[in-house]
Amino acid sequence: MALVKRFTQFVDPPNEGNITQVPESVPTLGTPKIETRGMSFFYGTKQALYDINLQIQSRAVTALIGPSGCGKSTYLRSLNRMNDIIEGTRVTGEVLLDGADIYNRDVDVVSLRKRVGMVFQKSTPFPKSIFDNIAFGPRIAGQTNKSELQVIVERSLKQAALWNEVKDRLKESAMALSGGQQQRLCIARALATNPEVLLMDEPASALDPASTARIEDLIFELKQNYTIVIVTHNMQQAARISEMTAFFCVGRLVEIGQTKQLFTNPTQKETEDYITGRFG
Amino acid sequence: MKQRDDIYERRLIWRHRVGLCFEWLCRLATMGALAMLVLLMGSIFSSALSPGRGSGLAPVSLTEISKTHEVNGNLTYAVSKVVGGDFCFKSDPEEKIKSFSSADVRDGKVVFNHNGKRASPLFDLTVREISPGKEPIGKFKDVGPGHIPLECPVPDVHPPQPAKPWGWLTWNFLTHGNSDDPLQAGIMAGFWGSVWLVGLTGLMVVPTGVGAAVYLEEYAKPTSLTKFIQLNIANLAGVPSIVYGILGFTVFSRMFGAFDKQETIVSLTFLQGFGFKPIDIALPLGPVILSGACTLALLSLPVVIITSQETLRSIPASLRHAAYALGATKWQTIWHQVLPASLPGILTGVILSLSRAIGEAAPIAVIGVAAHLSFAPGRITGISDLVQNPDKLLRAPFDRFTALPTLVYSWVNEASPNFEHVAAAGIIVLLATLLTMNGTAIFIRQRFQKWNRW
Repeated sequence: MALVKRFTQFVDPPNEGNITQVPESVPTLGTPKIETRGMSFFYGTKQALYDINLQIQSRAVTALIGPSGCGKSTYLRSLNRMNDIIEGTRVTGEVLLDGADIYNRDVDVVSLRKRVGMVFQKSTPFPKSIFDNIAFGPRIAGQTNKSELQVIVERSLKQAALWNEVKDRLKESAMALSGGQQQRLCIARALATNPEVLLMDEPASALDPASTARIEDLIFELKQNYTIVIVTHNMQQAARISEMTAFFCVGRLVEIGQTKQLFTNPTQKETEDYITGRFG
Repeated sequence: MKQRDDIYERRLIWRHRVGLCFEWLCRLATMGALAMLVLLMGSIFSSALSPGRGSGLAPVSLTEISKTHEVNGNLTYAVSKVVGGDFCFKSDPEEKIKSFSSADVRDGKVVFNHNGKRASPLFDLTVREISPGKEPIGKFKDVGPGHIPLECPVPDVHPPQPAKPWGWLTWNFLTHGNSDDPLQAGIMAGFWGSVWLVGLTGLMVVPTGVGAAVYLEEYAKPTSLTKFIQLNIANLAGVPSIVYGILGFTVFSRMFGAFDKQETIVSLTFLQGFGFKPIDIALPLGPVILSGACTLALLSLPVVIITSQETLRSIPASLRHAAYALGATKWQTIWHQVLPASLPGILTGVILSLSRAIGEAAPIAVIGVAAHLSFAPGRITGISDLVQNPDKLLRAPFDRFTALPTLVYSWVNEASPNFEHVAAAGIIVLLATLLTMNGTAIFIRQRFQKWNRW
């Protein structure tokens, strides 16, 4: 009972304003946006993920939690095939995006990554102007019309709640922005290619609480239009922003459920140990 | 316990002292380098800016004419202070007997041969500069078996002019070709030769060097072959430049002797299609700009490759991942993100290697470049000439040339004493060219670098 009390605090922190008001209508189990069936992942001969069966709902936030090295980041990166960059990696099983296997031979990785955007833990603005940072994605996709680009840049920056801060200095270096602004810039950059899914690998772990709150606000806004998968070490954060939470441990998916359910009444012993801080 | 503290404290003090010593040694070394730089620049400048052309020295003064020096009809005159110009002995009714120039003066003496017909010329002698309108600079009275100087030296032959601040580094020096006479020698041919050489070298080195670096760093799988290539590039960077000279001589200048029996002419007639006159290229190429540039390109390629690779390696992986995650292909990632981000480093490597190339005398000398040229490559005389004959631009790479370091080297080797000043002035021109090149490149680098703050 003490456990329940402790984690209802996380779900409903007393003074966090509107972002804590998770809608009561948890997404229905329709056709999932992303689904992995019996997926295993190998770095060379070392197996990192074992038989993952996971469904990710459309227009909702799914949080992946678990101790370090449990494979949640690997799982996230395999959703837009970023692991392909690493030599000697291998995937078995199925990763379905809208019902089509993304590891199919005739899938174009480049267009897949345009549909499935990604934001990294460390903000990585390109050493260019703010405008060029956002416009890079559309440009390499073939958009050369200047006024179109301007529209895209403005829309993305507004979506990422950065427009008001940078609208007067779009031509200045993105490296001059603060850490939180850089991370929002990266989110805006990912949004500029009009993705359907947004993967976030610990997007707020290097930021101060104020910037973290802004990113969380942003995620809350974005989930109305995008499917978001977020890896986080911060369990309060997972509880605050996500509808579904998946708990990974040593390369296995231990448990997946609605966030409230998982934090208040986990079915597995490992999950309970982890979220109560007894392990990990 | 107290003793141990003492030891510890003493050790700390000694550590501090050693650190101080090291710091001061480093400071001393820096000062030494600075002093050497100042000395070097000082000596070059003092030599080049020393009073030179027409600055008030009597060009020649004959101080002795003596029968005792007469051997087989040779009369020896002691001469001092020959700066330059051509002089002659003349009989009194102004009939030229014998001319001599500053180059004929050996050990301060000039030998006057009158064919041994007489012990000594039985007429009055006049020594004067050949150039018209110059006053005689020495008169010698015939006194039977010998001559006695009448006026020697003639004072104020050239009225003293105020010393020019730039000494030997005059406009004439910059705009004239080389000459045997130190007063006439100029650096124009060498300057344009070097500009062409470095320009062509850069054109060859930058795309190939950066391309090779990108391939080795981004695409090549780490097989044993790549490792072997890598090792050899590192080794090539340390090969002495004269070895590259031999290579360039054999491959580009002589072309393995394949055309030794008969010189072959290749005519580039396709240029007519672009509105140019066809160019005839004689094979083997010989010591032309193209051979020189190819040699220097080979010389600087390893350095460019290695520095470019280092730079590419230093670009954080997160930058590439960010680009990939936005749906960029490998090539787009490299072209739009990695290369622009590494441009400052690549430029540094290019600057370093091209600076080395422009100062290289040895390989250029080995491929057979002559110093005694008085025309710019392609015989381009000016901008108006170039506008009228644009095909000279295409002709220039196949033209003979001379380069700044070659000129300086040949001047240093000249016997005539005044050439040392000419050489010093040449070195200043070389340094100025180099600094301008580097300055431009550093300026470009700064402009790109301001975006890069990891």
